[in-house]
Amino acid sequence: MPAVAELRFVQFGALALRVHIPDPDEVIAVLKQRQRQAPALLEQAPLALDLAPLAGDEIDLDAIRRLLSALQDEGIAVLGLIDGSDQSTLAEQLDLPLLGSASERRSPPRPAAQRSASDWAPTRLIDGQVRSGQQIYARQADLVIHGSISAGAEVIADGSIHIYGALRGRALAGASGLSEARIFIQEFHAELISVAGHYKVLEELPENLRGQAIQARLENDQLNMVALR
Amino acid sequence: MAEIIVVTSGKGGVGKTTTSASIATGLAQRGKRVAVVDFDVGLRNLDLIMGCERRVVYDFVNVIQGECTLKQALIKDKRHENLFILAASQTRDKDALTVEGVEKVLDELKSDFDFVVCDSPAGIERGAHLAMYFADRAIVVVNPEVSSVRDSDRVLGIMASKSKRAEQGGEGIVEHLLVTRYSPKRVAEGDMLSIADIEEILGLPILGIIPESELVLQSSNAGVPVILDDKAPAGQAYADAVARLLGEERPMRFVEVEKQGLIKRLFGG
Repeated sequence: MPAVAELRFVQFGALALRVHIPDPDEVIAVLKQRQRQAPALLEQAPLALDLAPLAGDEIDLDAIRRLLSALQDEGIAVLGLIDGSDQSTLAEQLDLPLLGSASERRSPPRPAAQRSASDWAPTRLIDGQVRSGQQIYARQADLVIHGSISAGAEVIADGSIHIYGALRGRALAGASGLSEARIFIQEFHAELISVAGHYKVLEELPENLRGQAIQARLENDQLNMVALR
Repeated sequence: MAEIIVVTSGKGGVGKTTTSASIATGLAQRGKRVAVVDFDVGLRNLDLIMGCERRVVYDFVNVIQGECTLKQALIKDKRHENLFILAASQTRDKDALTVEGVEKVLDELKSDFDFVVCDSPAGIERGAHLAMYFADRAIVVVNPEVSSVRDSDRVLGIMASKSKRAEQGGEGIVEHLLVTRYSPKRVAEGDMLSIADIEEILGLPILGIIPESELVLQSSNAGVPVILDDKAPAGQAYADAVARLLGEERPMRFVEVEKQGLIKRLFGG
């Protein structure tokens, strides 16, 4: 019997859920079984969806949407779609960001200057609190949140993220590989931050940055966080 | 037209049913026509706390399935003639509730009452979702502890995206926080989250703070909503919350550590 779905770690530290049969109930059952074996597993890392095994067949979009909403009901936020052949249209249809390849790191991301201006969208603005279990994704855009982000909530942008409030959940900038992306946070209590796939799980907040206004950016492939002054 | 108020929390055991009973009774005391509906199909409790458990003949599921009329299933409160209880079914599960069925019952209630109070089950599954789906106003019950605050946050998020009001894209549900089982002493000792912490994390105004008290459990066991005990701090705090719900301004009480006098210490409080 072929596996319904399997969990595996992929290069940029995320967990990938490789789906062989897009049956929401079956996939959730597999996840729950894994969760019993390793309860902390799904809390630690962001989850990416790998639909590569389905490529070639006609993909049942409704089934995938049901799977996404079932995952969300389980409190599991899906970070994006693992890049593979023909996945970009799928990513667009599902409104999910496309993440680096599962097997090998892609060629270095295109610098911002080379991006054509036409595929870059206006900044996405969100007023109000982003609550636990909610996920906001700014496709091909910067993201500005005027409010706080609760623990267990997630904000993702292909560009930079500006948060005028407290970040208690997760923020992932440069989700499709833009390494110049940055994250600005007015009040820093984050669980996880990531820029272009380089992420930090903040089990312990650095004491000097807790509650401070900070900036996070990549410098020589290192994710650095510094207080704003 | 009636206003639908859902009492919800995400987490179980925080005081949803106690709150539903007291808020509904408090609104009735102020002359409003009130129906209070138990959405916790399979684990019904509201009838116990309202003290009408031996008078339940028909329930919510019977009405939805057309086995009786709404009128037959509504139980008149023994203390207030303008307060009615619609009990949940104990022998069914939450799948017996359908969106269309719930909408039909709520619509019928709305034409006859000023307020419909929906007592939500714990969790974020079907029963809880249906309880909040048609609401105009939500009272999110939260205990001063981290897990309860987290669950309330999740419920608020679901309300903001999956309620009827949210789906229609108009004004969302009006949200209130009600903090229950609050102990100023334990906050001072650092064992509990403070009101300021809860307000900051959830970013919502507080409708009321109900102090932790053994009397709450005693009244629940006796089938008397605690709001009817106007000597008890918890009862007074619920009365304040009802007043605020109706737009009155009341100062928050019972949030400071009480200094115990000698007599109180000798004879107990």
